[in-house]
Amino acid sequence: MGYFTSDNFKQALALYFERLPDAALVTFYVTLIAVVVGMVLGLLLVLARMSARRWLMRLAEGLTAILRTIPAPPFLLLVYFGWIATIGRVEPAVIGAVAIGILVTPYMSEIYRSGIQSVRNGHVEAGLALGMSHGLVRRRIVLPIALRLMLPAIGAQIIVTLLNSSFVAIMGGKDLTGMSRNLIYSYFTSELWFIVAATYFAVAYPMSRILAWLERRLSFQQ
Amino acid sequence: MGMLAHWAAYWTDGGLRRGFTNTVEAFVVGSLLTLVWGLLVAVLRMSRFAVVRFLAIAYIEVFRGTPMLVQLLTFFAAVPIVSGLQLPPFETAVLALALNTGGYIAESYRAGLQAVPPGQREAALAMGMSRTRVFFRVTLPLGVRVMLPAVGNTLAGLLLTTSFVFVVGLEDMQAKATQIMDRTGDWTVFLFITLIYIALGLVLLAGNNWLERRYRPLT
Repeated sequence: MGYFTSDNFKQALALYFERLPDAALVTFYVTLIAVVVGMVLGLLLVLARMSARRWLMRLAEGLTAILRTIPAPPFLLLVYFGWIATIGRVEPAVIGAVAIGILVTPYMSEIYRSGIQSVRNGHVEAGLALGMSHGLVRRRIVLPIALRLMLPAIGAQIIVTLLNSSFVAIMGGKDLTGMSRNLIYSYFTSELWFIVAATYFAVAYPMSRILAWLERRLSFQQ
Repeated sequence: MGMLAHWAAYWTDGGLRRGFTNTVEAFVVGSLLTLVWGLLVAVLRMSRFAVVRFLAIAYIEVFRGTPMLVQLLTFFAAVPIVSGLQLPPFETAVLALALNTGGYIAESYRAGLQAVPPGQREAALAMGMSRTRVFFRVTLPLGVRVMLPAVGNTLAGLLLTTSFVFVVGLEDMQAKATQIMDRTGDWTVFLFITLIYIALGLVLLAGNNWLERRYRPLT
């Protein structure tokens, strides 16, 4: 048939591996920024959701629901072009990473919430009975247990974010997907998409296996 | 108020209405295909034959371990030239959606079906019902209520996935909005369609909540 064996494909493949390190680095940074933004904003969101102030709780709840309905393509372009129009020039991959991070926020906050709520009340009561203050109980007992409980879910979310970092290609980011698209368009070698998919899989699949292994190792009875 | 007047013009004359219809159609057809395909995958995943189970697991892992954007691009560009089968954008889009989300739905189905107490199935088998009959008359009806929340969530997520179908050449809201942006330079058109997506998503969410309350798990 000639697919995967044409000279065009071989040239493109060689270039693909040549450009892979740079593009992979962009993918890595986009993932890192998005995860950090999502984790920090998610923390703020979950604190607001657990606030004693009813209006703040309601606001955070509504925001969580709304953020989960926003699809990446229009949102990324909205943030990108909105930023250019009102503030100024910006690197697409960077603003894209922040926008992806905002979309990760509700999932992170949900993970925190279920982690904190899964901590058995008995632990808290035991700490209080020992004369620890509420703040100390939260820092020394609830947080360490909750962190351990939510680790697998955070790991899974990081893998999802790694795959979703490809969204920056929509706005012209030169990540793994963006770089490959440019290459494929100039060499007319669509078969290369299989190689791109395999590259992502080669990173994401081992990560998910390691995560499953860690989950088994770290699983514990409260 | 100038912005709203522009938005109204984009909707009627700019083709956004057409884009909206295409998005909704792709979502509805994609959902139906996903529900059916997912059931098939779930059944294969629970097969008595190890080879079949392995193939189902491999399929689920491959689609979970690759970006959906790359899957769509592969489906649009690479599969046709390798297989020689060129489908129109709409068919390509809904097939890619079903293949992408079918694996997730299959896992939700499996969790629901496995939550049915074995005694129920055994009782039906003891009464002389065939395995197929037991599946459709006992396991499935009981399991459906358990899996409903997870399936509903996955379908709500499918709407987000549907927002990517413009990459296979379907003239959805995103494609129309990009055309409008290129023509007018007005970036608020993306705010407009983001709001439309939020409205659609909240409607789906409300529907989900209603179904969950209406069909709580039995037992």
